[in-house]
Amino acid sequence: MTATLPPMEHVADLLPAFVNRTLTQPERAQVMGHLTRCPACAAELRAWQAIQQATRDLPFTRPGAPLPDTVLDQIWARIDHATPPPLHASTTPPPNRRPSEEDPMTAMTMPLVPAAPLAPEMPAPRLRLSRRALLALAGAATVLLPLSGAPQRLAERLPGLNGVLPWQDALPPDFPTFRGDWQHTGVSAGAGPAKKPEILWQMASAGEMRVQPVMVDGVVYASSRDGKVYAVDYATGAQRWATEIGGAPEAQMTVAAGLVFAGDNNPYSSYGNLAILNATDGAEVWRLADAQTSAPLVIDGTLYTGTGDGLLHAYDAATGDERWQTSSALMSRGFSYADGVLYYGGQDNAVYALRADDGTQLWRFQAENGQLGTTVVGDGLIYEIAFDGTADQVYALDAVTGEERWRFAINARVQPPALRDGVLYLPGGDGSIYALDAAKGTVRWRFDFGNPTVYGGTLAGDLLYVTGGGPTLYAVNIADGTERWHLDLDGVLGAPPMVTGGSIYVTTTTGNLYALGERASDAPTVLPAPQANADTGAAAQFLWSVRNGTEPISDPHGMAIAPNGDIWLAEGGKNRFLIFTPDGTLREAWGTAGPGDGEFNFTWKNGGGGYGGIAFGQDGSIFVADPGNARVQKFDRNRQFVTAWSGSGAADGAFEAPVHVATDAAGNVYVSDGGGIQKFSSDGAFLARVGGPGEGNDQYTCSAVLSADSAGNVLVPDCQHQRVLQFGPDGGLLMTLGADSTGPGALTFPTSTATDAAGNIYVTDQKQSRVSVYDANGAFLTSWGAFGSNDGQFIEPASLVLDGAGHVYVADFRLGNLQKFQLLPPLWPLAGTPVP
Amino acid sequence: MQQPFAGDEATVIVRMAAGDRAALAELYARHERALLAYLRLLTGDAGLAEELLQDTLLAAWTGAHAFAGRASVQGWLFGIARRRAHDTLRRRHLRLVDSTALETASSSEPNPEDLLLAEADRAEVTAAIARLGAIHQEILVLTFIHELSYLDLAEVLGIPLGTVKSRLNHAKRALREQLRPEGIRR
Repeated sequence: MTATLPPMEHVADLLPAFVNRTLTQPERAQVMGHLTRCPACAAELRAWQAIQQATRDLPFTRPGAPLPDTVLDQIWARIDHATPPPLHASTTPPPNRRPSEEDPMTAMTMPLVPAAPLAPEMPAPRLRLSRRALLALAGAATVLLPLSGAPQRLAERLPGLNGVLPWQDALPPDFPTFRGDWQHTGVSAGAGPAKKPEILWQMASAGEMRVQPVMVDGVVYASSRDGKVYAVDYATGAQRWATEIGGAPEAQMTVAAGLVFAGDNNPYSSYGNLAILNATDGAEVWRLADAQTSAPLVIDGTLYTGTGDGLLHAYDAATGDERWQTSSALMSRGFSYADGVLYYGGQDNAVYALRADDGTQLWRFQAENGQLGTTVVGDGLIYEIAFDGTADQVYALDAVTGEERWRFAINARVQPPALRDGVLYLPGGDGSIYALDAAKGTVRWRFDFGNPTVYGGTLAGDLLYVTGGGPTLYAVNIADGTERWHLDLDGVLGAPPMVTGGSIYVTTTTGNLYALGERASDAPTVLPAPQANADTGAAAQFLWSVRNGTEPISDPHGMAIAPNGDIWLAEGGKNRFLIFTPDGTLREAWGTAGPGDGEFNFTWKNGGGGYGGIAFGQDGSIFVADPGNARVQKFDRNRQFVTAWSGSGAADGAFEAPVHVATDAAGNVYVSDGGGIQKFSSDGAFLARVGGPGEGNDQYTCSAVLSADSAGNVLVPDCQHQRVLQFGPDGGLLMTLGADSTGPGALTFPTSTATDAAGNIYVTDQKQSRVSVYDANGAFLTSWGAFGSNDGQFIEPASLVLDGAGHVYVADFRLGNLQKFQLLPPLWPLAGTPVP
Repeated sequence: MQQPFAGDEATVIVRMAAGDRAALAELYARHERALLAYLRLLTGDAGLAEELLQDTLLAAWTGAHAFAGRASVQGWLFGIARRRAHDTLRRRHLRLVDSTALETASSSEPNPEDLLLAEADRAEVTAAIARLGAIHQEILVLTFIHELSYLDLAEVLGIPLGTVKSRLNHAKRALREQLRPEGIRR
């Protein structure tokens, strides 16, 4: 047979691309077929492999530490000031056109100077979001949210905070590694919540979190791209320790043998440093460089993983002493394990089975295409996904022989399935979850999310908990593939959730680790200790707190003080205003929902959420921001409709969805809208724009409850930029409060502003749960408030107003209440101001 | 989690073309370190590399609508980076190396002398690569550190596919010469 083969076409030209794994599948097959018959090309391959290894040893070529996030800020600044964003560019790239920035390429090349040692490690987080997350909760502060809405004072409901909490009686079952077990089945040994859960606690880190949390002995472990590994108590979220391991960790973690195994790399680089930490105190025990770090396998005190030199190893997990090593293909992901056998997908697109005791290869299966992922081990079969970008395939292989049993493809991306009781639950990139017969690969049911980015599932009880490329967590009935509930968090849920002990633990790209669960109706809510800030409580004294009777105020938003001293508060969730007297009595509610004159729609661009704004003119006129109707309405002092101005689009005077209004002493009306802030005369004539939306130093991305002072300066709570912008009457930027500050005056999510007669500026900070005060020059003076639901505390303060008589009213979005404070010296009395 | 966003890269560029700023942030987060490493290699100057990184992202933002999808996103970005670096170095009158090295048609025949490379001490090969000329160093780094495909190499280096293959072979030959006892030049 061999005698009849045609003359061989050598493949030397393809070998570099074979080595760096960029060949197409047919080319790859061609090369592999040739290599078995051509010793010369095989020798050449070894030469290229040697060059690859040697190149990787070059000291000056490795990616260094990430740059501080200011670089991206600088890019934004340059984009905003130098180049208009291509807002109206076609979204379809025209074919065969070179990028517009390109210059004709010359044949010249550049000096390649081996760079001096890389710049020193820069610890700053990489992403804007990261920094926000960092400042949001100042390190890894833990917050505990009370019952949604919390209509009663917690103090009344919680007779004893010091007793043993009911859920602390027994620790939940462990979830020691990525996908729950060493077979990576995605099945939890514990239970999840059946009903739509609430947030039990939240921990913020300073970087994106894209790992699945793991849990051992009631401690939750998760890494963040801020370079740290966090250990927190599962019930309270209290931090046990945080250890800096460096890098930008995204590698899936393992906790076993009293040790935490966490890689410092992201999934786009398979290999990185594997830090091995003491699970009790976070101290680093040892470290393995150039290791495959995804979900390290630890069985009976032995760590199994591969290194970038193509070797596989077994180490004493506690000491790093090597037990065996063997040469094999580079690992695409970490090992899976069952019955003394290690399984993994290689970067050569082959699946391997090895003996765990000595590393001997048992079998090898060459997949046809795609990069291999985590191996799922089942009953006599193992399941491997070959990622091919658009048409991933699921292979089912005989665990003993490596023979292919079946294959499943949906012409879309798929993600590793959860496997239990002979059924594979497979998230598909076509927006569906498939239930497959694990033995045959046939479809039992399919559930369509309508969300093509669904990618991670964890099975507990009769529900599959699924995350996707967005903020939504789904619970799907595995019996029939119907949705039980879904819950929106924030950012992107970057990994499958960890589920155990009746709770769900999930990470977000906004840097949060959430614990979700059902709070027993009599379960105590543990409040964090008061902040150790000496200023807390010294700036203002709590007077009273009200709700709408026993009900929380539904989405309080804009607020203003009427000429008679009453407080008008937009109840955004009910398209109306609540009017309170200065002593906290609810006088009445005003307004009905609708599009007509004198009717309100406080949803924002039909996207839900309650907004709505109010301001009073000097003559008692009432201005209402009516976002859902894209207009501002004006009423006279007797609430008779006078006029409305509206118009959609980007033209001057037109609105997207105005969410608040403010007035100044000269009678001007300022309207806060998605398209920017505009200044109008009191009868609705457009006068000017005040700044504009954007990422520049004088631009804002939110402007919720703006305010204007008597001099016509406008204060914009630029919440996402963590600052307040003050514009002068001519529209020029005068001052920036709270920006780029790490001191006590830092703002993390300012939501509203007010100015007193001395020019001091008051800002509600939704994420720091406090009110911060700055002097007229922007210097931080003091703050008050702390996270909590007791009198004088806040959770998410949404808006505030001053009454000019030393009182501050603060509405809290989360608590649904309105609180009144008496300002204390030095904020009140103001010099030269009579005390009422 | 398995490569959650693999395959979404071109989508990111489309989103950028539509003015989506989050898309640029994603692009930045994903490619920042590799771009910076490449720019440091090109310029030998960390500060300049950082400037050029900004230039590159800015150019990607303004040029996103023209992304042709011929190369991968990484290849496209690296190409922009290389051209920016080239322009800047030329403007600053920094030393340029003219690639006058003869790049003949590539041979697909294996060379028995390559056994020398395969059997050489790894550190020795590394040292030899460090002594290579700039264009050869560059293509080895792009191939084996950044793992670019031939298509991407052609895009980044601005040369035809055939020249990519021959340049790689020339780099290997130069390396072999470095390793020969009589071939060592200092």
